[in-house]
Amino acid sequence: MAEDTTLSPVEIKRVAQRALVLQSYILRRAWGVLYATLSLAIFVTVFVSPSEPIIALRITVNMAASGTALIAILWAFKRARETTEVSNAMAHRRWSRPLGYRSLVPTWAAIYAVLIMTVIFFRQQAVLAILVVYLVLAAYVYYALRLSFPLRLPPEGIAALSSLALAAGGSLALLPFLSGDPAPYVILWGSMIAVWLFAAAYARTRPFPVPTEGWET
Amino acid sequence: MRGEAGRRDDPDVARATIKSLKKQLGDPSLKSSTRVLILILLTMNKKMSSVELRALTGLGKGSLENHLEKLATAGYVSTRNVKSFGVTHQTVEVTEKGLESCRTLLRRIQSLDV
Repeated sequence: MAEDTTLSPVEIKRVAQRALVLQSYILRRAWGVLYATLSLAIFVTVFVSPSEPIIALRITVNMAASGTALIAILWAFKRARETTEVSNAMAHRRWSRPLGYRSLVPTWAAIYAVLIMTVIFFRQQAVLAILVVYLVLAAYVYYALRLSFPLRLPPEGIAALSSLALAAGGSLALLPFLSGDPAPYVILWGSMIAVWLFAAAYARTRPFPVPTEGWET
Repeated sequence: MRGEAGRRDDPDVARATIKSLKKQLGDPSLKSSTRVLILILLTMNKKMSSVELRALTGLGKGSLENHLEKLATAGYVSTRNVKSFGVTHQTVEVTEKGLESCRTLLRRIQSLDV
């Protein structure tokens, strides 16, 4: 390794690309924590909180679960946000900070305000509103995955995203037909949670990226 | 107002960018691909442990310390020892100067379209 010689712009760009490969590995591991936390939050929201007899307690459990997930999201996205700056610089795009707490926390609060109002004033529509929120979450996860992995989405990310979209979309489609029977929902959401837990384990156990020849000068 | 492409095509702007890039790349602390890699990784992560940096760069302990010392002398990073659960870890943090330098470097390279 030749050290302490002035690097050319092409060499700097090659180093930046190597840094992005390494960052992609770091981000996959961070997303692993996010898949696990989010799947547990969805498990509590879908299976544990509906069994609470008092609605205020149900909302509290629900908010505690999603609040924990929000903290995990902010932690994982903190790194994604900084990565976006470097990857955008390499891909000639604008530098952006779209995943910060300034946008996520008010969005989370607004969603809960809408959900609580729906439960109070339009109770019949509460499940519909929750399913729409999950579809919005799927869209957001897709957006965040694209920012974290601009070149190619990791397979576990595709699997997690597809299962969430399928569970939320499938539940919405089934809503008018199977209002009294929980079994299809249990299958849909149970499978989704299993896929997310598998995605978490897969992301956390990925091998270290082997350096390609010639990245260093 | 000229757009990004207009500025990139402007020969005067390109010359000025090349001049400032040459000056920046002449900085002794940036005359190493490993140090530039460390600086970019820290720009993306703000703070990392030296164990994490060793794993990512493939450097030995002494070699990493040498690189970090040069970056710290230039004011790009700061290191400190943190004790948790009875074990002392070294954490490396990028400074504002380091962040600005790395961002400027990448922006200049972007504007040159290399």
